[in-house]
Amino acid sequence: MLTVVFGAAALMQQPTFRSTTELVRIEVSVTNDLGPVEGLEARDFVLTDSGARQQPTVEELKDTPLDLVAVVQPLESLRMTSKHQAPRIAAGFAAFLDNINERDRLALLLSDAPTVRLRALSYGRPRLDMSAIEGSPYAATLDAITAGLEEFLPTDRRRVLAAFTNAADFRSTVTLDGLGQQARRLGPAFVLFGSPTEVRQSVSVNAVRGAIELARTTAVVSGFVFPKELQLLARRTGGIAIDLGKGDPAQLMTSAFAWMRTRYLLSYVPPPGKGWHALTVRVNRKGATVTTRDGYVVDGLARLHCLLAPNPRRRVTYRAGDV
Amino acid sequence: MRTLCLAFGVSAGIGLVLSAQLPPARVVEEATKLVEEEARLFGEALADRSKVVMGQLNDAESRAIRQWDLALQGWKKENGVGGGALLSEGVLFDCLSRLHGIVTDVLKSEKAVPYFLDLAAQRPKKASKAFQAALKTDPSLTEARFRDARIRAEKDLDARKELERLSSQTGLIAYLAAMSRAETASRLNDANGAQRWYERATTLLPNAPAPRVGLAALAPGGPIPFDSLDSTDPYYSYPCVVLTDPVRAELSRRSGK
Repeated sequence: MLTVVFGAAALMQQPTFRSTTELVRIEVSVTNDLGPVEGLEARDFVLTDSGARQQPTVEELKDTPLDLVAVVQPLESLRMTSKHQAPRIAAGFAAFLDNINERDRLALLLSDAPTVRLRALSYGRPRLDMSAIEGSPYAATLDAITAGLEEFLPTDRRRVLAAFTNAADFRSTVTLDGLGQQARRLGPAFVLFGSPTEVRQSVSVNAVRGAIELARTTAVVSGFVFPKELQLLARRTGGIAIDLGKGDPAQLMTSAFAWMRTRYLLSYVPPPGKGWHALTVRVNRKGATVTTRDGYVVDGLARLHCLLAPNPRRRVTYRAGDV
Repeated sequence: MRTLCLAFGVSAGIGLVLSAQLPPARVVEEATKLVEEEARLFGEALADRSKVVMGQLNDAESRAIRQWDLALQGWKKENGVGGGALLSEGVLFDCLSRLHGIVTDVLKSEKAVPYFLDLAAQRPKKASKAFQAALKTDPSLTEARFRDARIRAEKDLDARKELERLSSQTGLIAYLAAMSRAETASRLNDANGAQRWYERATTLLPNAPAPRVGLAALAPGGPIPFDSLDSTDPYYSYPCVVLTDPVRAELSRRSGK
């Protein structure tokens, strides 16, 4: 079978391959209205890669510890364009920290301009004063997410990049398209916590003839706009976008962590060919929603990311202190 | 035949004609139908435009922009307006052109636009025009040359060459030109070019974080050593600041900042 050995130190150097073929490992979440759907087996999945049906091995992982890199937009930058977003993001971020347990590893970056590393990847919940995320009026969130992707270490653990942002970024050198390209490589799922923008504007129309007003009506356009960029990026990586404007942050975060900690790992030998490999995954369960990345790119860089994906054939027991 | 006018409370108005022969009750009924239909259509258009809205510039920032704009209006009316006023105007447009999705005030030199229309998209052209006018008045304004080239670089080979020429020098503008050239290469899917120009930027400002991030986007290489890099980077602060000292000082004096 195919074996690839890839050492942690090689991250800083040219990678050395002892074999030339790799296994693709795709993380898949299956949920229904009640939460994660458990107990699925290989026969329950229909997976295609570049249109060709695959026969993956399937491993179900529950309550797994996480490697998380969290990117938080400075509260001051949120206040620059909205009165309501900073408290929402702060509450969501606090609830996020409450869900970190001793088995998890967490790195924290503030998406200030420039990025500030608040903590390198390390175990347990940090003691963090919320004043640490005040920052400055300008955010460079795309740059910070790019930097965040570099914070992960080679691991068998589930890796998730979590970002708290309103998606307004006027400073980054990395563009949304550029980040989209990075997201096409096999890497961590993005779980993006966004704050919607409230839009409210009245429209008044009247009809006059001469000096006489014959009719008048006023309509109000109002609602909340959730940044579609976050949904697009999350979908591309097999992640999810969560609207912090929709409910209690504690409940939203409990659901998000349940989602992150439960997954299926589908492994298979990919069909040959460089470039974009479109993926589809279905399950034979009524009412189930499958969340996975919409594909991946095969090139030198994608190969590197692919190899860093967890190895399903290796049994791992997790405990605090594992590396 | 008499004219019945429909007027919108926001920013648009149209006129239409109804027959004067209609009985008064019928005219009112007809007008009511019309205004309701127009309000619905206009509301839908507004809702559609609002889908890209990410926020509204807060009061303090809006006030600062208005002061800058007001100072410029006075400066530009003076006889023999120099390149400084035009450079400042260009920087203002350049700054605001970054704020995609953010509702901002309309500047004095702009026309009113339908609500929620993304003004930022129209501002790079205005900035470029101001920079070119500044250069006609004062060709020594390197900042105007750089900013204009940055705006045009994606579509204009000469502008890219200008950035390359500027980045071959030393100093702040050279660094910003190298960063801009790298970004242009990246947008044009020239990864090798982007890498080369980000590397040039690191040569010019070895401890700057922004080019390190640019390089990481091109090729993953492990954690960026933020702790040993500068905690500030002019790349992130320059968009809304006039870099040319005497011009910045004059603008500050005029805007009371």
